Amino acid sequence: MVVVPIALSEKRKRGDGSLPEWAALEFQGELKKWKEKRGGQGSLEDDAIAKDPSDLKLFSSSFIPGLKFGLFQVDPKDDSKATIIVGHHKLEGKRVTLSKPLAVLKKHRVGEGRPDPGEEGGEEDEKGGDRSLRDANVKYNIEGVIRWKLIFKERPRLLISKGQRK
Amino acid sequence: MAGDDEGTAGPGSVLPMKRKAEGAPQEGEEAAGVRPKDESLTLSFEEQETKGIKLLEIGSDEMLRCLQEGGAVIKASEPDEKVVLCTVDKTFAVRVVETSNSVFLVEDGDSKCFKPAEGRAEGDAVGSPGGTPGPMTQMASASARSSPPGGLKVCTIVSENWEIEEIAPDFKMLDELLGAGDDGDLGGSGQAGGEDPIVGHTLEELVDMVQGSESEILEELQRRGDAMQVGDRWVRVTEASASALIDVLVSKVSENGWGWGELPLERVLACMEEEEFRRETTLHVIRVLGTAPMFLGSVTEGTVGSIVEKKLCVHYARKLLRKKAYSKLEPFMEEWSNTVPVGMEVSAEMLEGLALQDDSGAVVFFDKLPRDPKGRFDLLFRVRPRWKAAELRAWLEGLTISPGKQVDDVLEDHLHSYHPQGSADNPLMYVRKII
Repeated sequence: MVVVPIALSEKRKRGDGSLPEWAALEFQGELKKWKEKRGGQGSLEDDAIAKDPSDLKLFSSSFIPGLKFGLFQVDPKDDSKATIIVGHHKLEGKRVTLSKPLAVLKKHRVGEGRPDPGEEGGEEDEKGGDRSLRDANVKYNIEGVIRWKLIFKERPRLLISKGQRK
Repeated sequence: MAGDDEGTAGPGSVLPMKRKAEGAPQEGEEAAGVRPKDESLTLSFEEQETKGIKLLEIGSDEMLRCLQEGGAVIKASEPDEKVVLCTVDKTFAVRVVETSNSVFLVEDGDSKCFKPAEGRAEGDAVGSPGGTPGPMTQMASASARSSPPGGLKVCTIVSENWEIEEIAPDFKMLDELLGAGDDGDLGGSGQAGGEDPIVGHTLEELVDMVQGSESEILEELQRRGDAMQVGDRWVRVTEASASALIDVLVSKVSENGWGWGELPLERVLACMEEEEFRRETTLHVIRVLGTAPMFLGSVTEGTVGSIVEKKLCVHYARKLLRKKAYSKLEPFMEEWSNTVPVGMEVSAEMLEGLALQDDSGAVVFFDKLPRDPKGRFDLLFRVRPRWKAAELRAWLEGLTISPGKQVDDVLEDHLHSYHPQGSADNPLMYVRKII
């Protein structure tokens, strides 16, 4: 029997004993990359902000470290609404309180000298995540809790320039 | 129209943002942590992804507190068996649920950028000064602002989470650990101490091997007749060793004239110890057959225990039925009556939960009934296709019932009920559902 402990991450516990709140932005579908970003994918240079809008269209839902990919704004009069602009697309989202909160667990390797996958970008789980549930050499730390999310499920709206509106 | 008098041209889009009201941003607002009037923030990925993140759905704050206190573990046995999450006193099945949606996680969920209304003075309007800049310009200026630094940072992307559902613990492994091997005689005499010469398992070892919470496992161990605690270890008590002990115990009770309902435990244990039966074993057997303290240390000179007549009679019935089959009830009842201690009377009702007659009149013995409802009902209804509700109830002890359900729910799930001849005055009957 494989037994995997779940423990509280001490450094995450706040003074009042509560867990930090995380936020979730949920997109219905994937953000796909239309063309290669100039300068190579995943560039971390200071000019990572695309200067040409044609480079900043829709990016893949793969994590691209350091990449700035959009603008976020909460409706100033209604905290429950927010918009995100990615390239020429505008997504509108709404805040939804989760009926069941989500605990954010982070996997750690146990044993001396074993690298923490969070530090070096360690191994990926197999699809479905079942493998991580049966791995005797890991433990999980609770890093935070998610009680609400912003869900962007409407079809993206195309933003057009003045010149295009005739 | 917003953006008509836009000074910054270019291919940027026109954003439907409101014009700023007259007047500059209020003095002191930035110092107070309130963002400038143009509230767009850069959305970006962290410099390094936070890997190994899993989301676990929790049903309540109580569950969250339990997780925080470190009382939870995930247990997974063989590859084809279910994965469970166990707290101190509950067991949950874990299911991986995937979604086609992409969920971007931001670590700072308390950030004020999600609540722009906080801290703003009433009446302040929103909008960018001088009209609406294009998205590129906005992004550039947003990244240059310092509150919050760097805008919103996404630390990872997930597309699945773990859901949990409370279930009854699975004691199959406990049955294996405690019931390993055949029930056998210990050297023929049964007087070699009374229990298997095995090391047994500590509660911690059992918790690591059984898919259930510590409380549930301990409750099951204390309920069972075939497991007792010696020191910090749980050891198996075989039927043969218990039977040998009971035979000697019965004769000692009779010799000393002790009442079945008022056994002077200290003297009983001392007496049995002279016959080379361990005190823990004797106490355990008395507790299984009646009442006695849980721990040996609780027994003093004045402590009284008892043995319930019915339980002792059932013990002898089980012993007889294990030895041979009976094609008719009467011979069994006669033999049984001659076996129990003098003064005790047997009855067919005592056999409920242990044996019943089939259509031919033969006595059908059920030594170990399955815990799961389907298995148990398959077995019982194969022998007797129709049951009266009152009779069936006696056969439901030890049935595994999912949390949140009652016995009646289980009956409804697996059986059809009806009143014969359509009258509500007739006893309620059950037949098996065909699924």
